Parts: sequence; C-alpha cells; structure tokens
Amino acid sequence: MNALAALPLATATPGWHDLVGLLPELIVAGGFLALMLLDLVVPPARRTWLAVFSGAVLLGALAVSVWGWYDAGAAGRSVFFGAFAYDRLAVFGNCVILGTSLLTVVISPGYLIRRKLHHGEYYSLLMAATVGMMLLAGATSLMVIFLAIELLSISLYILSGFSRQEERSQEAAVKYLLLGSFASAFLLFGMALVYGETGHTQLAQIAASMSRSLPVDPLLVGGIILMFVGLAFKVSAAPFHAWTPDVYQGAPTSVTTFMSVATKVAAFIVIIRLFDDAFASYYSHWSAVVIAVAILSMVVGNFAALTQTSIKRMLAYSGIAQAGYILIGVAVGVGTSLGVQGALYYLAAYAFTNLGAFAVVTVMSGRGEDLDSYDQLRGLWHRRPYVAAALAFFLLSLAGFPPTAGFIGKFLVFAAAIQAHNVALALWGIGTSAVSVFYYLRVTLIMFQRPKEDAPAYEWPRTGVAGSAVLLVTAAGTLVLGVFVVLVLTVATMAQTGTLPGT
Amino acid sequence: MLSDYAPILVFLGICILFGAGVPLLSSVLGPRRPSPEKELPYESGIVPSISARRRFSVSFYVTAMLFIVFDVESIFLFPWATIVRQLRVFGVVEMGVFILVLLLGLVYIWAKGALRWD
Repeated sequence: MNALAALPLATATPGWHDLVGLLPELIVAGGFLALMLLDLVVPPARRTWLAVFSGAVLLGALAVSVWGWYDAGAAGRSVFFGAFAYDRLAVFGNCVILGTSLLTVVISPGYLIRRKLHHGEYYSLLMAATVGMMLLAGATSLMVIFLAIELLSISLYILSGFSRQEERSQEAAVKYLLLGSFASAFLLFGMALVYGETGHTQLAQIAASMSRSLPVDPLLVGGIILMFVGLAFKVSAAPFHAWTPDVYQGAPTSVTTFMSVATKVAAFIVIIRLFDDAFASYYSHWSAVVIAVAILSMVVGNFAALTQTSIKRMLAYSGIAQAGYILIGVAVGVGTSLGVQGALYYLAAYAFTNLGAFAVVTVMSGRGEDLDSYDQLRGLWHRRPYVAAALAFFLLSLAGFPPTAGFIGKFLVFAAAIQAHNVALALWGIGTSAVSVFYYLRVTLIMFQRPKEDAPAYEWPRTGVAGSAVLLVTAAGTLVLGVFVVLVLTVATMAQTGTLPGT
Repeated sequence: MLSDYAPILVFLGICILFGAGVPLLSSVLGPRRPSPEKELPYESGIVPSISARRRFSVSFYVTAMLFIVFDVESIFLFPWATIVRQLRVFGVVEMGVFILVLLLGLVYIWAKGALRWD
C-alpha cells in the first residue's frame, strides 16, 4: 500500500518540446492514417498516387529528421519523461529507416502492378511499419521498445502475406507470425525480469540501478539474455534465424527489400542503446553470449548461403551473416570507441547495399512469379548491362571488396575487435568473409554467362525511371560510403556520443 | 533478491494444487449417472441438429475481432476518467486523439464492408 501511495500522480504534462522530438514519427503516423482513408476514395487505377503521397510524407519526415540532427545537438535530450530519446543516434536511425522506406515506395508501384498486388493497404502498412521502426530507434523505455516492436512486427506479418493467393506468401506470414510471437514472449519475459530486479522501465534509471547492484544478480543476467534473444530474432541472428529464408523468399520482393534492411537497422539501434549503454555495467556477463551469437551467425549464414540456388534465399542467409558482423561491433562496443562506430557504419553500408541488391530483384521481377532462381539471372549482363553491373557491385560490397561500403564496414568492425584484444573474433569474421566471396561471385558469374539457347530466358521487365533512380541512388550510396570514409565516420561518431540523454 | 520471489513460488504451487485438485476431487467424490441427454453438447438446452465441426462464415471471426478491438480500447477510457480533472486540457486532447484514431479505423472497416453481413 505504501509503495502505491508514494507513486507520484502524473500531473506534469508533456509540452511542445516533447512533440518536436517526435515530429518525424508524428508526420509518418499522420501519413499512415491519411493513406488508410485515401485508399477508400482513390479509384484503383489511380493507386500510384498513393505511392506519390506516401513518398512525399516520407520525404517531409526525412527533411525534419535531418533538421533534428542539428536541433537535438550533440548531447541530445530526453522527451516524454524519459520514454524517448531525441538524440543523434535516434536521428541517424530515423534517417536510414526513412531513406529505406522512401526508396521502397519508389520501386513498389511498378512491381505491385506487375504482380497484380497493387492494393492501397500496402502503403499504409508500410508507413505503420516505418513508424514502429522509428519509435524503436528512439525508445529509451522498456514499454516503448515493446510497443514499437509490436507495431513494426504486426505490420510486417501482414505485409509478408500480402500476396495472399500465393501459398508461399501465406506460409511466410504464418511462420513469421508464430515465430515472431515467440520472440516477443522472450523479449517480454526478459523485460519483466529486468523490471522486477531494478524496479524501473526507463533505461537511464535501469543503468543507474545496475551499476549499484552488487553482488551480481542472476535474474538480472537472465533478463538481459532473454531480451537479447528477442532482439536477435528481429535482426535474424543465428540460432534465431530459422524464419529468415522462408519469410524473405515467400514475401513479395518489395516487402523483403524493406524489411531485410529497415527492421535490422531499427533493432540494431535499440540493441546498441541497450547493451552498449544501459547494460554496460553488466558487460562481462552478456558479452560472451553476444560474441557466440555473432560467430554462429557468421558461420551459419555464410555456409548455408553456399548451397542456395535461389537469389532471395541466398540474400537471406547473407543477411544472417551480415547481422553477425554487426554484432561484432556490438559485442566489443563497451570497451572500445570503434565498436559502436563500426556497427553504425556497417548498418548504413548494409542499408544501401542490401537495399540495392533486393531492389534489383524487385525491379527485374516480371509478371507471373518473382525472379528467384539463379537460372533466371543467366545472361542478365547481355540484356540489361547496367542492372547486372549494379547487382554485381552490390554483391561485391556485401562480400567486402574495396572500394565499396561493405569493405569499410567490415574493416571497422574487425578493427574494433582487435582494439578490444579479441583477435580470435576478428579472425572468425575474416575467415567467414573469405567463404562468402564464393557465393557472391557465383551469382555474378551466372549473370555474365550467355543464356542457353533451348532454355526460355526469364522475361525481365523494363527497368523504368523509378527503378533506375533507386538503383542509381543505392549504388551511389554504396560507393560514397566506400570512398568518403572520413565524412561518414564523422557522422557515425557524432551519432554514438551519448546514447542515453539525461532528463 | 532471489528470495523476494519466494511468495510467487508458493503462490504458483497453491495454484497448481488447486487447479489440479478440484477436478480430481470432483471426479472422485462426485456421483456420475450418465444418460444420453446428459452426454449431448451443451447448447443452452436446444438439441444440436448438426455436427459442430463445420465451416463458419468468416464474418463471425471478423465481427468478433472487431468487437474485441473496440471493446478493449474502450477500457482505456475508465482509468482516464478517474484522473481527467488532474490532466486538464492535455488529458482531453490526448483522449480526443485516441478516439479520433479509433474513429478513423471504424470509418475504414465500415467503408471496406467488414460490417456487412452477406
């Protein structure tokens, strides 16, 4: 009774500065509601205008986010009574997520029309998922983290089953839903234990309570590990990756493009916020688990990708491996300055590169079934040289060749591992990337082969202005991140300072 | 710290004992005089006419889901109502936004025909 009576009744109310901190999220949320209603009045033939509208909303939110980078300042600040961080890490995440969402919206109408999936709900669900991801990137309270994850997950469950006549798409949705609910339960149980042991839901107070708690609390360690399991599912790290290939293959390719990039960015930002800051005083208790998951992801992802003959499944396994590389940065992020920087740099590099690779598959998917098997790529170089060159460039970046973004990203996380005196971890990374070269080059070589005379080549559609623009932007981004390293690294460094702003 | 959870463990034990014990006791102590009428599925006293394992119209599920959604949302009004005076204008605006979002959802499902029954 006394504890209840001591609770202060929330008479303080949030003000304008709280709303400013959430402005990009509010814009996209408003766009989501507006799109839901617009879909009711826009005739089916004019649905491309819905894409234009959502593009405009996302562009506006992106502009506000860029302004927020300066408005939040180096220290950042906490809004809504510590539930939400308005700092450069959140803004960095917002920019990457909004950029991904925007590029996805640009390639979507053409693809959806070809696949006869052009429903208005697609755009509103995409916006809802984007809001969830943006909230996740800024969340500093366990409740907000959970709500944001549910918002993005539920939207993505529906989107992955969006091609509802297709059995594989239904399968993807059901698998994602069932396994995702499991992961949410793990996360929630972990949160319950962390809350139970510290008595707080806000990360800053949890961090303070943890640094006080001596001796080490086994339930708290259990809670941290359970939360990591839930989040590792979202970034599809092994051994929580089993859903990834099936969902990525079954979902419509434009949805895969979006969720393979944006979900990972949002979940990794919250992982960095939690593990490299809030749980930093328990570093010695969770680091072994994160390192084990990182190594397992790199090994499982890269070796499983070797045997694939479907480009979507190959990219799914490659995404698992990339999650492993980013986890290296997270695992050594507490003791070193390079760890978090490297992870953030890798995230930006991964966003451009993987978005580009999936965008090629989306843009080249014709009527009927999705472009999927390696055979359907045979001879792409002879018919669509620019598209084939772009895909080859993205695959080289994923493999980590200079002068691409992937090379710098890998270099930074391996350097961080060495800085943390964990040379073995860096060697695991280098060894598995050597394996990965094989399957990336295999796809590249297939594109350069001449098509067989008797086998009917896949009917690649025209790239179109929208598709070309997206491929150009992602290729340019991959190149810029690979060449102008100092510029982007400065941004990543600025983003990592103070991931938990004081109230 | 861990010992703080001892009451929960005791509570869990009592719950399991009670949950398993009561049906067990009633099956041991209770009289059983089965008759064909008693073995029928309970349908509020009406004799079942067809098997229960048939497909239902999807409208049942849609309606039930929509009911649950709006029903659960309305629960939030009750705690809000107790402190709305302390929250002043902010509380009213906040709940207004909430209700507005719900209303947009209602408009959407109405226009999509999810409430029509045929």
